[in-house]
Formats: sequence, structure tokens, C-alpha cells
Amino acid sequence: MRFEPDPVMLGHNQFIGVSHLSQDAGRTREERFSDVARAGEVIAYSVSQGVRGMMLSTHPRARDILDYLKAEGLALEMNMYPLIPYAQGYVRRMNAVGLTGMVREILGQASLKTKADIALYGSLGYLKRDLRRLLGAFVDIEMLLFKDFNVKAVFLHDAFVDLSLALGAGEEVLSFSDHVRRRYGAEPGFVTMNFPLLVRSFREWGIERPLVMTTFNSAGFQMNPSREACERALEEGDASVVAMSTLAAGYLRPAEAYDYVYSLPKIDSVVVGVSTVEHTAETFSIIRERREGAARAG
Amino acid sequence: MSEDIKAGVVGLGKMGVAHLAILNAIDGVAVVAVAEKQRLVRKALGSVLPGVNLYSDYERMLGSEDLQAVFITAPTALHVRVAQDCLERGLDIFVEKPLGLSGAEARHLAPLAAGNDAVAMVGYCKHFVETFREAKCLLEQESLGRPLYFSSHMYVSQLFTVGSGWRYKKESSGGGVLNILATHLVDLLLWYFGDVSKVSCFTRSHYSAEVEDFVHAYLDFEEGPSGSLDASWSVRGYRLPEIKIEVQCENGSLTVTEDYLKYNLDTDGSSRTLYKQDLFEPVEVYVGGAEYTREDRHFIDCVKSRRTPETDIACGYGVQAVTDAMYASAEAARLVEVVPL
Repeated sequence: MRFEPDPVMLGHNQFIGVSHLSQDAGRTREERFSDVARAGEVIAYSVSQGVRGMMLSTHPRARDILDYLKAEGLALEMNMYPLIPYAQGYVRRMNAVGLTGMVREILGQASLKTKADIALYGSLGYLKRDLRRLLGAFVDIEMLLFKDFNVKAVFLHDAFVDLSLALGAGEEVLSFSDHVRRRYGAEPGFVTMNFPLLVRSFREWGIERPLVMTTFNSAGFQMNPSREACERALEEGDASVVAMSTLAAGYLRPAEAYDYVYSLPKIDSVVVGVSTVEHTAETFSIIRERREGAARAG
Repeated sequence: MSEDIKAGVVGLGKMGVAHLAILNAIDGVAVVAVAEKQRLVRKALGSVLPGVNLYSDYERMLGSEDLQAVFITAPTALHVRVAQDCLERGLDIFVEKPLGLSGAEARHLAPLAAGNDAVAMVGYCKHFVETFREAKCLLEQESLGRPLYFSSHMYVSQLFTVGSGWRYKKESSGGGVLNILATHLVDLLLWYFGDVSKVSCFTRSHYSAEVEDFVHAYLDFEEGPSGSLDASWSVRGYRLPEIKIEVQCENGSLTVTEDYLKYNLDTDGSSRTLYKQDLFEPVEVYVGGAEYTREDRHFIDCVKSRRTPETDIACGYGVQAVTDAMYASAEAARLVEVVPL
């Protein structure tokens, strides 16, 4: 059966202090959303506008957001799309305590809190012998946060996808795919900044119609190796595509941005980062209009 | 089409893995061997890239493989030793920054590279970030006039507990946030303003027992401006490492970070901000940062055409001489003259 992502997903970057426009902007957002109710207000309004999908990484603030959704009775109205692992957190810990220190810390943490929930496949010594099981255990640890939610798909972070693509690590990608399907009954998804390379590699690895979140914007920002190559891969490839960075990280105005996105063929969904109710209303009204226009045009 | 350059990688930490992945994906180069001490890491790599020969010892790798170029991405304390062994065998090298633990340690590398006609590059990757490159062009044009004064920082929110690993041991890192991280900022300042004559520096530790967590310095450039450098890995609110340089020039001012470049001109009162989106150039493969792909491509092109790389050993020396003087100044609590290598 064809997997169909929600046509619009709420992004999470703005809620966790991330801005790809500038770190200054990120810090402003970090302050604004330190009160989780502010994020909750934007999410609740989006749900009232018919948005059902939400991306969320396992940033420390994710737990607060998820708790809020539960408390407000929004949890079951939404489809969650976890983005794992929380790569930047790992990089910082790795810089602070080293690679093995980080692995030990993560596994140690999980086994203390949630031994029963996770099949840790035995001791660290055993894990050391098997990279794929280690990756599976990492996925399970990150997924604990989402256990009371509807998880429609699980996205692997671009840091890992792009590394796997460059290394040609097909087996690892397949093992993530199997694990997500088997253990969570969810669709495996892949975030990438190298869309044409992904289409080519996945075809070689025998992965059919993958769910891919990747950059599409009229500025060509982060579209590697070129905007044209990405558009061609979209046309010729057989992927279910969720467009991200559609505003090129806040650089484009929504009207011109969505004119471009909905002029493309085969975009199944867009992920949208909105920070205020006013901004949400404006953005979703433009998206609705452009989507309907694209649907009419066939 | 010319043949692929056969390359080896020494050390599979974060940067080793990033370079390995990029080199594996781009044309014109093939990684045929990797040396890495940790068995777990070798094993993981073996299952991903079965065609690459794995060694626990880099000397055995150099002895057994027919390589043309080596990427040295081991902890800083090993850089000079590995670089020397490679250069003595006539191999081209890419060394991650910083070049070594001190200038004295690295002093013999440049003559060795020159004597063996080797291409040698140091991984000062900020040269390959669009905004910093654009700032260099603007500073070279006449419109802003002579730079008079600057302030600059490099911060990341990384260390708020006691750190562990080679980065926090003086004998393996050569120093703390200055040598490990802020050498990127020193490199940019040297690229923009030329040679430094004198420095005055203060350091402070709180989380690290052996190395500095905070640096505050004043740099006086020989024929350029003077100004301040602040660096720390224990500042809150910096999810990613951030460099910011603000320059006051005769006819205006310029501010540059990884994300944007802003300048004002007194002559016509104009002000302009260029975001990285304005300056964006795609790369053949993206792994963790476009600048890594660009610097690897630059190195491979230089190896093929036997050109001197933009960030060569002289560039590594320049940074080393300034950081040496900064550490000396902090220790002696006085102004110190920079001695060129």
C-alpha cells in the first residue's frame, strides 16, 4: 500500500531554538518558547486549521511539548513524525565525553530508567560486536518519548542519512527501515540534503518508494548538488517527498515560496515552521490556496 | 580522465569520519586504507566499507599501502608525528587543524614538505564558508577603507560539566578552547588582517582541570587593526559553534558570522546584509557542512595540479605562532611579541 504522509506537517525547529537564518534568531526563539504554553498555542491553532502532522526531534524540550499535548487532549488528534536521533546533542556530548563515553552514557541512562521498555540486547560488550543492533537500541531509546502517541513515520536525521549515503552504507539504512517497520509499525523516513544521491543509492539498495524529507525552495538553498538536479530527481525518481526548508530558513516570503513548491510535481507534503498564531494563519491560508490551485491544475 | 588519487585516513573521530565519507562520495579520489586505534570503530567501518584496508597502527598502513595522499585526523598530539612520517615518504598530506601542539613542535614540517615537493594543507575550513569568503573580498576592496579596530568571538555551548577525552588533556590537545576551537577564529583574523605583532591574553578554567575554558585576548596586527578575541566552549545559547567578527574601518563597518555578512558605508550611508542564502553555492555531496566538501575538493585539485593549497603549512604556522604567544602571555601575565616560525 502506498504510504501517504499528512499533506502539511508542523515543524519543530522554532520551538527548540533552532533558526537556520541565524543563531541570533534561534536564541530569540529559544527564549520565546521556554514557556511551553506558547508552543502549545501555535500547535493548538494549527490543529484547529486542520493540520494533523507534527515533526518532533528528541530535544530536551520535546518532552515538555509532548506532555502539553497530552494534557490538552491534543495527543490523539495528531500524527507524530519523530526525527531521530537528536544529532546535535550527540555531537556536543561526544565532544564533551568522547565517543565511547557518549555511548555508555546513553545506554546507561536508558537502562536505568526504562530497562523494561527496551530490549537492550544484553550488555554493552555484546552491542560492541554488532553495529546494527547498537543502532536499533539507539532508535528504541529515542522512541520512548513517543510511546503514547500515533507515530505514522519515523525520520532518520539528515546527519545520519547523508553520512550513510556518502559511505554507501546500504545495510545500515535497510536495518533502520526494517526496525522501524517491525517494532513500531511505522513508515521509515529519511531526511537528506543530497536528494539525487539518495534516489540513486536507494534504487541500488532496492528500497522502493522511500519517504524522503528534503530541501525544496526557490532560492535553491541547500539543494545539492544543484537545484536542477534535485528537480530532475523529483521528476524521475519514485519517492514520497516531504519538502523542507521551503522558506529557505525564513529567507523567502511565504507567497513566493509556496508558488514554487506547488509548481513542482510529486510533492506529497510540506513541513512548515510557524512561531505565532498570526504567522500560522497567514502561512496556512497561502498553503491551502496554492495546494488547491495545484490540485485543480492536476 | 586521470586516475583516482589513492588516499589513506589516520584517525576516525568525528572529522575523520566526515572526511572519509566525503572522499568516498566525490570523484577523483579513492580511500583505500584507514588507520584507527579503537577496535569498535574499525569493526563498524569494516562492515560499512569492506573494500577499505583497516589498520590499528598508522605506520603499518604507510608501510603496506601504495598511497599518494593521507588525511591526518587523529588527536592533535599525533598530527606532527604522522605528518612527518608521511612527508618523509613523499606523500601529500591534509592535516586537521590545529597543525600541532606548538610551533616548536611543527617547525620542521614546512622545509620537509618543500624538500619533498609535497602538497600539504591544514584544515582551516572557515576559508570555505561563503560568508567569511565574501568578507575577505570586501575587506580587500577599497570601499571600506583601512581596518582600524575589531572585536570577535567564538562560542559554543559544549562544556558545563567536567570534560573527558583527549580534548581536555593538555598533552594530547595542546590546550583548551583556544587550541581546539578558537584557532579557526585566529586563522580568519590572520587571513583578513596579516601578521600579528603583539598579544595580551588572559585565560580561565572552571570545568577543565588541565586546559582553559575561557579566553580573552587583545591582538595587535603589524600593518592592520588591533582588537579583541573572546572564546569559550562554556557559554550558553550557542547550539552550534559561532564566530562573529565586527570590524571598524576608515569608511564603514563590517560584521560577519557563519550565517550573514553586514556592512555599512559612510560614503553613501548605505547598509547591506547578505545572508548565507544569498551567497549559497551547492556542493557535490553534503556531509555535515559544505565547507568540508569544498576543502577536500580544493586539496584533491591541488594534489592533481601540484598547486599550493590556500590553507597551507605557512597558514598553520601563522596560527600556531599567535596561539603560542597567547598562551605565553596568559602564563606570564604580560604583553608578548609574536615570533614568526
